[in-house]
Amino acid sequence: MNPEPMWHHEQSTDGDHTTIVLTGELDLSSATELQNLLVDAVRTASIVTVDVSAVGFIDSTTITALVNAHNTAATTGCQFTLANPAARIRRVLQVTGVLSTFTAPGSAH
Amino acid sequence: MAKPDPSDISGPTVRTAISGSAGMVLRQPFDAATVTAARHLLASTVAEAGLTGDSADDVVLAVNELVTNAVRHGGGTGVLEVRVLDDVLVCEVIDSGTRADGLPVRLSAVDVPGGRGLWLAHHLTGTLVLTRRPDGVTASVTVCLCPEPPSATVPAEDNSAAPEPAKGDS
Repeated sequence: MNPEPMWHHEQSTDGDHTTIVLTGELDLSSATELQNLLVDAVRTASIVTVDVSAVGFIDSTTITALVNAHNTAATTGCQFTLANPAARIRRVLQVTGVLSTFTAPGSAH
Repeated sequence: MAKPDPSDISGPTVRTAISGSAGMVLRQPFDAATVTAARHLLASTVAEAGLTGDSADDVVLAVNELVTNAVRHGGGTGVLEVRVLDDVLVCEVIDSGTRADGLPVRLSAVDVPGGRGLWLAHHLTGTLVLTRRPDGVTASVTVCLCPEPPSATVPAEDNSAAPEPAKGDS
């Protein structure tokens, strides 16, 4: 069985600012690839913004990938933020205590 | 093992979590490659049971965490069983892992990468039960199918006798 990927990403770079737009559902099946994507980005850019407005599902493995990327960003001096989480995604980030860590001040309503 | 007799369903409802085929609405083996598919099946089952909104999303995420935990720490495979027993939806994840490293149900610090799965399952449902068997772990969460009152999340025992909430802290 080779199911269709449940997520995809688009990456664009403007100077030292990389934007990654994620779409779909993020879970165990995407966690390793997601983490590699994010960690690679924070190693090569000064600012990484991950737009999750089109993400409909995240779980603990997604949060692990985000934490690893954020930790790497802290060591390289990169500013790593999540942008535009939908209500459902905000709830999961909030419940796990990482919402304020990943969302820039003023980016949330 | 003999299959449970389907006619048993007509007998008295067994309220223990592991109760053969009574009320079974989904039985789905899973492994690392089918975590997503199992979640989608669960989401359909939960919707058919009448759950909507955050209640549905929460139980789907909670069970997703139990399934993921079984794949990563519970021998790599397991079985998801969902039953409707009266007005309660019971979701069980049965795996074959011995968990020498324990079953931590706690919230990791913000800079610690892992360890949030069981805590999420617990926090989102308030009903996580972990049962160690000789040959693995059974994790279950339950959710009530009764409609929630529009504004209350915690049912009050007796509103008529309760004093009005104080305007300020006393």
